[in-house]
Amino acid sequence: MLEVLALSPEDGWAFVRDGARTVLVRPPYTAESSVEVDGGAVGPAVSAYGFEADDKRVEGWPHLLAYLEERAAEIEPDGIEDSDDDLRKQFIAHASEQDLGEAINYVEEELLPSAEGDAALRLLDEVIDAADANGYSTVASRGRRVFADARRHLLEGREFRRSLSARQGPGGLSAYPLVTSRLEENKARAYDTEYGKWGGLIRGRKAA
Amino acid sequence: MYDLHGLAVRNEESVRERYADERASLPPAETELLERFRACVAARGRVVVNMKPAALAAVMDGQPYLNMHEVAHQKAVRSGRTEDESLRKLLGEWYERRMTFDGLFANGREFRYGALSIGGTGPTQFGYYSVVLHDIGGQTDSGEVYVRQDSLSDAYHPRPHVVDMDAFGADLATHSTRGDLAGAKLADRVPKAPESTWPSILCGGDLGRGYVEVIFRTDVTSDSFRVIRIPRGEYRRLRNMTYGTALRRRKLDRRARLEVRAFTAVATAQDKGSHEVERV
Repeated sequence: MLEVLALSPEDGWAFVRDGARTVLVRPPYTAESSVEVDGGAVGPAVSAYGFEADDKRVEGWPHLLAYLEERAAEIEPDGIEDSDDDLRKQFIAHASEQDLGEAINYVEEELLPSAEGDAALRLLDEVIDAADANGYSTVASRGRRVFADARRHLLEGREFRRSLSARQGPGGLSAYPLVTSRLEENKARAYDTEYGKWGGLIRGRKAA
Repeated sequence: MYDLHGLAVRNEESVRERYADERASLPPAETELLERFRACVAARGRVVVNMKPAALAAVMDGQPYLNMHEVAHQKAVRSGRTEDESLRKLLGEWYERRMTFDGLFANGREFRYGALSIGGTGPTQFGYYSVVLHDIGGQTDSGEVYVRQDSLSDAYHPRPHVVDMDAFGADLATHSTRGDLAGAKLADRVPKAPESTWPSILCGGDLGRGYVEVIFRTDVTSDSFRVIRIPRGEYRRLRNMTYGTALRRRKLDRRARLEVRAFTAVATAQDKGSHEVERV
């Protein structure tokens, strides 16, 4: 049994009693984001730092998260409806040189290994523009290099698909079980999506 | 009603004496370290308010930072409840404590709360953004008062609801004696710890009550912000969350969008030169 002692509904933060422990639970609700705290922190959290007192008891962590979700849904929207793209573009437009470099790292370490080609190109395009606008030439050059690599991978993926389609004769792709399974694997990946939409961008961006 | 700042002024000599006593009780090698700590707090000690993303986003959007009475008033207007009903709901079992304490002091309902910091993350259990405020009054009547620890804990007695004013008054310091207060409080820990850990020993290291509380009355707006400190790990998480929005099929949920919005507002304001951001 978990007891919610205090929470901030809009933030999804909660002080929770779990047996003898007091735990601060926060998004993204991982083991790292939830920490044990001194129980004495709950009083000042409520009386001075904007948490709301609560006494909800729930059976286990899934129910706790559902309760936090429910409480968040009760909050009236603040009327500010920035889209995810707007927020990202705003951040990138004001990002430091280091943060723009980290965006390229993110592309190399997260997006490209996951075959998220469209997202990679989208992010790189914005990063290169911001780096150019701010005179961060090293970041801009690196961004163009990675962009060219990402574009090449994207085009190779497209060619791969075309060559497979061309082989669809008698028996179709079922004649190639390994290829079929690879295609299925790739279905959810970015190589398979939105190429046409991004063709203009890919053609328009000059490689380094 | 008591004048909180007046009480702190009257306690100045006593705080200095308490610090001197603590220092005198240490071996010579530790005396110098403690004195260095006291001087550091006296020179660099600033008021921080740790905020969660929603509070920070609201302030960055131009709204003032509200204390509990102001939050209750706002909720009362929206819900049709009385302000007192809203306060009872918000504060729950801490209602009597808060009302007893605030009712003891002139302008008690205007009090805001922060912590004394010489760097580091601040008390992140209240919010991972640690906002360092510009000087907020110093020795003036509206200036800040420093309390040895959470003001509602040790000097408060629940039955009946009273505050031991002798005990509470002895725990107060003004801007100019805050170094002595911190030095006296931490005399048994600071000289034995590496200097690099002093910021977290003073504020935020214990994820609970490890801080010197600051009570002040100045309004907090984004113009009050001098520096916004954010733990490195949170900064990295928020930055990657922001970059991750390039994956359009994975939309941010409402809370994640709020986090990204606050983060973006911080980065934007830094770029425009209105305050610094420190990753700590």
